Amino acid sequence: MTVYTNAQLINQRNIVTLHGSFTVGASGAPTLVTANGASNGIKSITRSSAGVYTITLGDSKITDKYKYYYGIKTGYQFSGTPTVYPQPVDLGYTQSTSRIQVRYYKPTASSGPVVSSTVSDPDNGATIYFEIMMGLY
Amino acid sequence: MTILQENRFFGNPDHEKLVFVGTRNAGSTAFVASSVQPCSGIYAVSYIATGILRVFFGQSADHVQKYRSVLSYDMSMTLPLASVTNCIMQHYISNNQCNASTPYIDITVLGITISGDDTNPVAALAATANIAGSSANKIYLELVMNRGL
Repeated sequence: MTVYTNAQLINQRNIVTLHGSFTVGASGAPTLVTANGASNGIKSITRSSAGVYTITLGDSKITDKYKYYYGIKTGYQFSGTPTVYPQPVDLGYTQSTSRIQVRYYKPTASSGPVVSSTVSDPDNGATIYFEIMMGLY
Repeated sequence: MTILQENRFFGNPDHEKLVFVGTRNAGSTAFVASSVQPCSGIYAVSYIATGILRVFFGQSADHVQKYRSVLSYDMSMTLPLASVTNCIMQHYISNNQCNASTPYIDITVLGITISGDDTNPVAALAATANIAGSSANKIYLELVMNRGL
């Protein structure tokens, strides 16, 4: 892993910030964006089930193990009006597999009417941006 | 304040973080950048339509900055309760022109609409809400951009 330094004050040690993005195709199929250095430090993105995406940290050959997880921030890009809430729920980090999962929801209405949420794939054609903060040790 | 170290690891030296903190200017479509919090690389934020914010990149209209791509994006809002009745604090990039001659992105802030009748209601997301003009209404916008053109 090539690591450059960038002067930014922070009151934690050994923080790693990873930026990545993926596009969403038919049936929620994700494709990791890797052109021009994008998604450096991201090994893969997979759709684990409807609306649930698994991000594995590392590169094409190895999985990067981090000790601490400080969170994920996501952004949503879509040319129309999205059907899902653009910000997903963070399902957390599994250290043994170096995987982070997020889950997307959309609003639904039932008799009354009452608005609730159901799990749903992001819109076909959407781009998801994410920033992950990890601690080395 | 205790600063433990000055280095933060990024995967690429072309990555650049832009921050804008500002309040909605009463009586105007524009947001005013905070004078006490850091704002860099974004010279204007203003409404172009209901619920849609346009964010301009650069130091001024005469010194714009193009980028190859957006790497990450996040926004949060500080709003009084009266301002969130039609807003669900969810937002997305609805138009990405960061590589255009006038580089900008549009951010749409969403509300929920319900159509149909009581037995067959339909809920949908829509750009229904503006952040009202008030010095109490503040946005925190953070973008990481790829400058490697």
